Parts: sequence; structure tokens; C-alpha cells
Amino acid sequence: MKIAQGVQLHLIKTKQFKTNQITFRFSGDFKQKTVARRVLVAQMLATASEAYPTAQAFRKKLADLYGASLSTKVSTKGLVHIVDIDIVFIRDEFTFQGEKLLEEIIAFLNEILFSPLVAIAQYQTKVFDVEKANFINYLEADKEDSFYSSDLALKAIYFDNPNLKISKYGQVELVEAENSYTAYQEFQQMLHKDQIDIFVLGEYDDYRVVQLMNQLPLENRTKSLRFFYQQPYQNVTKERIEHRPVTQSILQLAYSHPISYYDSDYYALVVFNGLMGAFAHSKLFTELREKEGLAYTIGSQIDSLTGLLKVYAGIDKKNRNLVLQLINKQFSDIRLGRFSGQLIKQTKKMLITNALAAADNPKVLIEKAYNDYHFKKNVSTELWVSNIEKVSKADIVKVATKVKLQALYFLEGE
Amino acid sequence: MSQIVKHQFPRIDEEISYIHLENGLRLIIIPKHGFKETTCMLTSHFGSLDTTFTDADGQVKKYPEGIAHFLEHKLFELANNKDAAILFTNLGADANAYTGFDKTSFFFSTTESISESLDLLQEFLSETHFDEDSIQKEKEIIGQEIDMYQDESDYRLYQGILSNLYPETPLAEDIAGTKESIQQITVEDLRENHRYFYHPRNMTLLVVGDIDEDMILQQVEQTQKRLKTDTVGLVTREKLNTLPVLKTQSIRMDVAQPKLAVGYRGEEPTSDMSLLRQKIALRLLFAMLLGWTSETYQTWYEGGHIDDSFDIEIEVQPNFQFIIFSADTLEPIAMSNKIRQLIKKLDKSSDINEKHFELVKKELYGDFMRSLDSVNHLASQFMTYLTDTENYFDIPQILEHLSLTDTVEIGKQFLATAEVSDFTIFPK
Repeated sequence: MKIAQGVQLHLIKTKQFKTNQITFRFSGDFKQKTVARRVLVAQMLATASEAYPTAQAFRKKLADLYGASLSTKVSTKGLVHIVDIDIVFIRDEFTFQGEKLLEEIIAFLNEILFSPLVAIAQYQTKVFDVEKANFINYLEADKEDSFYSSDLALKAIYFDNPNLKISKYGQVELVEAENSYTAYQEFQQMLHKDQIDIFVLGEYDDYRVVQLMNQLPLENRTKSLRFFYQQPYQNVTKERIEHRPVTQSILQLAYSHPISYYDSDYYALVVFNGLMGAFAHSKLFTELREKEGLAYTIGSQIDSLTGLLKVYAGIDKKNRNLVLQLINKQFSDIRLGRFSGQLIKQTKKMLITNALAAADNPKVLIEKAYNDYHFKKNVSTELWVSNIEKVSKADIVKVATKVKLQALYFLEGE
Repeated sequence: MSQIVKHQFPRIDEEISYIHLENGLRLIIIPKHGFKETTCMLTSHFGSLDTTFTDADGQVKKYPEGIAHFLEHKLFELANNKDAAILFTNLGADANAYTGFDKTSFFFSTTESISESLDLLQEFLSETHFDEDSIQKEKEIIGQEIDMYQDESDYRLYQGILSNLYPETPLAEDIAGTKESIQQITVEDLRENHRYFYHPRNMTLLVVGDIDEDMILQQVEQTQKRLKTDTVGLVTREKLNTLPVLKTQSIRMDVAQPKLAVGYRGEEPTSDMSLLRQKIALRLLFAMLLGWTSETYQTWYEGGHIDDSFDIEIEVQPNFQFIIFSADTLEPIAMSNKIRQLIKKLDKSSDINEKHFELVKKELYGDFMRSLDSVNHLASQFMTYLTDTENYFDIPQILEHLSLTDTVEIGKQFLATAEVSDFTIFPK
């Protein structure tokens, strides 16, 4: 339902859960220039407002709303940068005195969006500076996570587009350069210029929810979102090795593939990734972990919005070449059709189980509603399942030949 | 057919069925209407702490640390080189396992072929099939796992404070053991432990999902009859040998800023007071005193002394109980003193009052309600809280009846005999 141009309300009704969920989503461009500002806005949205001007007052209010969990989440979908406010709260019937919790929650959402903690066109600096300093600490701490930091390093060498080289959270230098004024101005941009999607999931009175949401002062905007990114295949594999005083070494590999969400090959790519490295029966897991004992953590992932397939493994540094050789062998085995029908069957079964089980997860239901609306491709679970079932061995081999190694990053430990 | 005992929890719209099977297995079913996914979890009451015990024949047994976790890994190995995880996958089920201090749980989630997977779950835990070769290879894999955790600073902090609080006990080491201790594990050790702990009397089977109860019960009974049932008696566990705590220790790691943990080790509970009530009282008390709705937290947060990483962990078990405060902080020594002072003068804290008490109660109730919405999460929460007399769904009832006076009293009792310690990680 359209509340204003570029502001969409998605009502997802279900009686399955004892809690309701509201997600208020901003979608804008993923750009180096604004990423740090948007991340700071996300931080402020979950910290304080005019009426609840300290973290304590804010938390007390949430505790009083029966421990409603309010969090903000920053993510990317290809070239789009997303900031979510997620609020999960118990259904009215489970309150102690039959309070109208949903109404109070929407009022609170209104408060944090339209009465933020400001002092003349900027965030109140006292609170902002604490949040900024904390966020810089989190970014510093993230660097300690070997898998996370090596994933970023891989993307930095793999992607040509400078915006995709950085983390969705920005980086320390970018955050340091921002202040209470630039962040607040960005928030105003988001409120007035970003595409906005509001999801209300659970059991509630639709009429009342629509009425309350319509009272949010959100005006028309035209934001065209570009999600998809492709970069041309390059003949040279980029490589980088770094040393760190950690026990475990990490190997990260980036492969490019030309298959987008809309291609007929898409489902074959999903099956290919599944049998390569998404499950316990997958090639990488059984061959490298179970048979050879070379890695405890190993797997593969695809991103169909940026044409990336990646493989990661936590290994002993002396095994680097052996591991690389064995990973290559798994890819070439699939290209040569050296894999069993049983492996395909298992993979399809797991993919289908996961797709069906997704109906139990409110976050996944919300994500699906967003994708259906913005990608203009409404794939029902039944259709998705039948498309997966139709994938043949030849389809998988065909996809495998299109997946090509483009970048290698090795974090060498001690 | 065994008797089904139903417990209703109308206020939260949940119910549980308990069944004690003839062979001693405890079966618990939680119906979740409308959910597509079903989770089945089979738990052996055998964890990382059970390395020393007396068997039913009066023999004292001692095994290397990490053996419960090692056995968890190796049980997935079946006859003819088959892997149980793969068989679950063939059935479209996602299977996994974890080892804790006092239990090892094996579980799967699926949306179809529940009966087949449920049979497989019971079958694969009833026998062992590993040999010398596969044990050697597993030592490599678990070695990698131990290494991986060694690089995680938060994990090292937690392990560090536990080793201060419980020196020379299995709590002082990783649940997976050490690279040295796992080297000592033999095929025979693993088989013996399987015999001692993986028999129906020492196990609980939990089923959570939108399922037909009678059908599940019938099927489990049949499967249990078919599997050979050992008549091994239950073992007697050693008390945790509590030496004096190590007052303070520190290490250096590649971290951005120092990490501090302050731990309080309580005495083993002597009264027959409900452990669940005690745990909830301690959670409420410390949420008031130092949680994010407290004045103290706000002052420290605003002053930049702590950030969101500040955490309070409370464990109340029959044989051990502790509280750990942890924080990333630039001033770990001063912060340790602040926490200790605050706790010493608990009575003087203005954060402890009726209004704040009602607030943290509401918050904890909301957290609890949220946990009911995921079949997987609920299954693991339910097993964590399960004792012979209480279960997870008792929480709202306990919350309702707990008074501020009782809560403060329980906290004071804990602290009166508690020993304190700190552990710090400094940047390199």
C-alpha cells in the first residue's frame, strides 16, 4: 500500500507468532561519501530522542514497552545501502493489563523519527560524540575478527567499483571525518529522499495500523534504486598476502559469475553453490574437512546482485597450497561433470527444506516482501521450489564453467 | 503405551507433554501450531565437566578433558564410512550438535520426513563405529577448532575468568579440551563413555513443532524397543573440586582496547531453593544495579568508561554458580574497582527500588515471550533450563511471584560467600 510516493507500507498478517514486528527501512545509494554518515544515523536512531534524551531514558522506555527490542541494522543489497529500524514487541493479548502496545510502539517510532535529539540543525553533540567514539571502537574490534577482516580485504582487491570496496559500516577514517552536523543532515536526506518501506508483521487491526502509519509526516519522493552490479571478467587473478599474529590462517577466494537474479541460470547457480560449499554434505566440507582434516571452517557463498561467488577456509598456514589445489579440484570436478546425482538430490532437498522453513522467520518474510516489490519478480515458495527441482546436472555443469577465479587473499597467521 | 502427562501454560498459550518411556528415556513434546519447521533434540546428560565419576559398580573413572566434545564429533561416524550428517541431509534435515558443561545435544530441523529423521537420530546415537584411524584424524580437526577459538578475544576472556574462578577443574579449560588433552583420548575411552552416558536412562528427547503427538510417541516407543537397550546404571558425579580462586591474571593479545572480566564464584547452593528462581532473581537484581536501565550504567556509558559490549552473565547450576561482568574498557583496573565497590555497597544503590524492579521484570518477560517464536531457539532454551522439577515455561510464574525483598535477599546470600576475581586482556 502506498502512503506517499516512494513510501510503501507492507502489511504481513500472520497468527503464528506471539510477537509482532515493525521494520522501517531506508534505501539509498551505497556510496563512500555517505556510508559513514548513514551508519552514525543508525547508531543515533537506536540511542536517544528528544523525549528520551539519554541511552538510559531510551532503554527505560523500551523496557516499559515490555522489553520491546529496538535495533538498527545496516546492510547492502548490491549497490543499495539499507538502514533498518527493527522493533519486535509482544502482542497486546500477552501484556499484563491488556495494554495497547502496538499503538504505543508506533507512537514511539514516530517520536524517534520526527523528534530526534537535536540542537539547531545538528545532533546533540554530547550524545553523538559518545556514539561516534563507540562506533569507532566497534570498527576497530571488527578488525580483530579474522574472517570478517579477510572478507573485506578480499572485496577490496576484487571489486573495481570503489563503493563496493568498503564495508557496509564504512571505515574508521570515514567515520572520524563526520560530525553531529553532517550526520544529522544525512538523516534529513534519508527521511526526505530515500525510498522508504514500512513492514508490519503479525496479528493486529489493519485498519488502525494503516490509520496510524498515514499520520507519519512522510511526503512524496522519487528515488530510483539501482541494485545490480556486474564487472567484466579479467585475465589476471589478483593476489594479496598479509601477515598477522593470529593462530589460524584464512584463505579467501573471489570468483566472478555473470548470472543475475533474473537469469534462467539463477536456480542452477543456487544449486551449484549448495553442492560446492553451503552445507555439511557439500564438496568443500566433505573433501577438505572430513576427508583431509584441513579446515574446521570452510564454505562458499553467492551474491547474485554483484556477480560474486566466494570461498573461505580457516586453515593451518603450511597447508595453503594444498588447500588451494583441492579447492580448484572441486571446481574442475564439477565442470567435468564428476559428481553424483545423489549430491544434486541432497542439495535440492536441503535448499527446499530451508526455503519452506523460512516461513517461520519474520525477518525472512520481510526480506522476501521487499525483494518481491523492488525486484518486480514475485516468486512464490512453490514456484521457487519447482524451479530448483527442475535444475539438471547439465545446467549445473554449464553454470560451473561460467564461474571464474578472480582474486585471492591470504591472511597468514603464525 | 506410556502415559502422557500434559502441563498447560494458558497465560502464554503453550503446553508441554511429558512421557517417561519404559526403558527410562524421557520424551518431551512441545506443540507449536502453524510452524513449518520441526526440531528434534536428543540430549545425553554428559558434558565437559564429567571427566571424573564413579560408575554403578563403584569404580572411580578419570578421562582426559574434552572427551564429551570429542565423542560428540565421532558419533556422527557410522558403519561403512557413512556420515550421519549426510544421511540427515538425504532426508532433507539439517543436523548439528553441541557440547556444554553438563550435556551434549544432537538435533535436526526439518519440514518433511520427520519420522525417518527421528529414527535416524535415535539410531545413530545408540552405537559407535569409529576406529583408531578416524580418531587420529579427528584430533587434527578438533585441534583446528581449538585454534580458531584461541584467536577470539571474547572467548579467551570468558575462558580466562573461568579458569581463575575454577582452577584445575574442567571449567578452567575449553569445552573441547586442550591440544594436549585430546591427544590422550583413545578409542577405548570413547567407547566406555558412550556406554556410561548414551543409554536411555541418561537421555532426554525433545520434539518442538506442529506435529501429531500420539504418532510421535508411538514411533519413539517402537524405535526404542528395536534398539538394544543397555542396562547401565547412572554414574555418580564428583563434586567440583573448588580450590581458592586466582585473584587476578592477564594476557596480551591483538585487541583494539583492553578487555576486562570480573567474576564472582558463588558457593554450591545448599538450600533446596529453586535454581530457576535463584537465577531469575540474580538476573533481575543485577539488571537493576548495573543493567542499561540503571543510573550507574548511564554514568559510566556517558563518561566513555564502558560501551555496548558491557555484559553480565549469570550461571546457576546444581554444582556451580557464577556471575561474570565483562567490558571493553580503556581503564580495566579502575573499572574492576568500580564494579567491586558497587557490589559491596549494593544496599546503598538508588537503582534498587520497586519501580525499577517492575520495569526490569517487564523487560525480562518480553525477552522470554520473544524466545517462543523460533522453534530452534526454543528447543535449545528449553533444554538449557530443564531440571527434574522445573522447566523454561515456569519463568512467567516465577516472575509474577518474586518480590523485591526476596530478590535482594537472594543476591545478598550469593554475595556473602562469593569469591571474586578478575581477568584482563591487554593489547600487544
